[in-house]
Amino acid sequence: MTWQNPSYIVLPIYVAIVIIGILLIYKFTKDKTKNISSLRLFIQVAAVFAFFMGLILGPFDVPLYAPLGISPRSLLLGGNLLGNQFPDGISLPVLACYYPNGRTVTCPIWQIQAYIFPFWNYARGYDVVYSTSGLEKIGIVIGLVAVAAIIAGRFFCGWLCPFGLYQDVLTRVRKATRLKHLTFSEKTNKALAQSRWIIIAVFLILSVMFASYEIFGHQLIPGTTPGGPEGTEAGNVGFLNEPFCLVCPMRPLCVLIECAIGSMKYSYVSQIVYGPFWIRGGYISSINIIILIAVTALAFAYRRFWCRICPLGAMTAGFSSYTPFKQIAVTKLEKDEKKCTKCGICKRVCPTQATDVYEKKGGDVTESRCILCARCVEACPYEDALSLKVAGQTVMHSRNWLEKETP
Amino acid sequence: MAIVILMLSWACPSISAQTSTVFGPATKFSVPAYNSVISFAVNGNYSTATFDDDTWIFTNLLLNGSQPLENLEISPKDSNVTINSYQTETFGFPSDRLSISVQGKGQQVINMGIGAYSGIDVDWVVASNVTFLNNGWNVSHNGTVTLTGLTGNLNIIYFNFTSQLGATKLPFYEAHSVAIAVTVAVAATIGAAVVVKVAVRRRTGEGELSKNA
Repeated sequence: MTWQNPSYIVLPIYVAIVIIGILLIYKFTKDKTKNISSLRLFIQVAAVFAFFMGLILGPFDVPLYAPLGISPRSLLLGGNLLGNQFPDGISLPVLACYYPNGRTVTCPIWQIQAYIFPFWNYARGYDVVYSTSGLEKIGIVIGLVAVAAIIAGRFFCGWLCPFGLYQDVLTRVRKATRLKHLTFSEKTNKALAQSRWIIIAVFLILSVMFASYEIFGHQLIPGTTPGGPEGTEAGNVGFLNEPFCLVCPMRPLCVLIECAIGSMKYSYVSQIVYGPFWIRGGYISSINIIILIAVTALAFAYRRFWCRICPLGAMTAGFSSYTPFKQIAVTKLEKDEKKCTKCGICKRVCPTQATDVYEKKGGDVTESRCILCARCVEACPYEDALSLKVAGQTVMHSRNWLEKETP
Repeated sequence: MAIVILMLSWACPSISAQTSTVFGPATKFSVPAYNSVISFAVNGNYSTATFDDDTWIFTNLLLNGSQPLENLEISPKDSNVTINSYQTETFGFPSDRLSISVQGKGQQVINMGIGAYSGIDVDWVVASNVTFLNNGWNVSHNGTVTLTGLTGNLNIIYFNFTSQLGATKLPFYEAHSVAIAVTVAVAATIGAAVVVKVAVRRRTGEGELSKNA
């Protein structure tokens, strides 16, 4: 499948469809307890198309190995937005792999891990010629995430992340089967939130250890190859060094999208396999699959399970929900204590079981677990008790849905 | 006329010295001490083929349908090796790839005259058909690849990353413009967020005062 000349007309058509869709939802969704959820679902789906648009439009005729063909990323729409210094896509805090999104946006976790490895100081094909060092690129990633998080916080998790959409779909499937969701105890939920930082620390340390041969001149983990454990993609190819990606549950879904629209031949996934069973695979490993299955089961039972332990969500929260960034965060969930009756609906409907919205006495109730999905705003039956504010301006607020509107 | 000939011979001293020998799939190059035979899968030609220290050294080797290879040294042991092709990729991952077929579990020592140790081991890959291999091969610092116990169709690939160093000689602000722009963006975002925070607080304060009044 080859499109040498991407059809840029798709972009304005896409924008028009999104605007018309938002207006239609705004106009015709009568149920006040579902209007924000409907809007959010539409924006989530639109975001998936936006993130993977580069892939839909790009040319895919540059195989790495002639018999296989992989998804080359050059010349894709929106590709190489920041030139040779930062050609792998703009870092946005959403789980969207580098491969399928065609250099439009890229998962910052992948970038940070990859840029630790000195390989990324070099050009490495596909028309990419880096002119910046790995450390400089890590600084750019953190800067871009900081800007995104200060402006929108975990709005990215609630409204834009493709894996968030996947979990929301699971929740809708569960609801359709009339099964009730499970909840963690407050203690467990807090422990899960804290585990995010441990996950970040582990994958950063592993990244350095995997890259140790190139950084320090010798392997810190005996028996490993320069890229990582023998048998893994990193260990075999050597220059791929992303420990978190080896376990990321989103990666198989990205591959699925890539294969589904024909930009990657399934043979690349099925033929390039190596390693023992526990980590067998190439582009995706058996660990990826096992973790995706486990997370799917858990997210089916517990709403937005992954978001409670997501290291990317933690990074975003780090720049929006903790001092000093919390004080200047632009997007906030606010509560008017005078209008709150402590009915507890907000606490019950929160998909990540965030508690500040219920427990805090008014003002900014955004916390690191809050994904700004505004489900609490939608469900709250008291006029203006809860509101989602951007730069001090209310963009969504709770409405009295207990009383029917007079025509 | 004599001057022209003189100038041509000065400019192209090696042309007259270059002769090529044609070979075909039936041509065999044996290594008697190691009980091995080298052959080619297709027709081709080379400038010289010398046998030294149980190693065949081909210069200016050109197989039909392949790119020319300036120098190829190959020494098989207890195995027969058929050289299928030599390809260079200039797009995608720029690489050099020698494709061979090996019969018999022996050892093959191959040097393509490229890839002397560059400080990056990851430049080299050996693949069986399309699967990267963990074991059964190693590469020395002079770019000599030793295959041990491997059979079937093998690809020896050199990615040559280090020749593609991306460092440019641009002025500092051009070479690092993205980092500078992101730094400015972070500072501007923080600055704007602080201004918004102050403005909102002032407005909220005024609102509270007017309510109290």
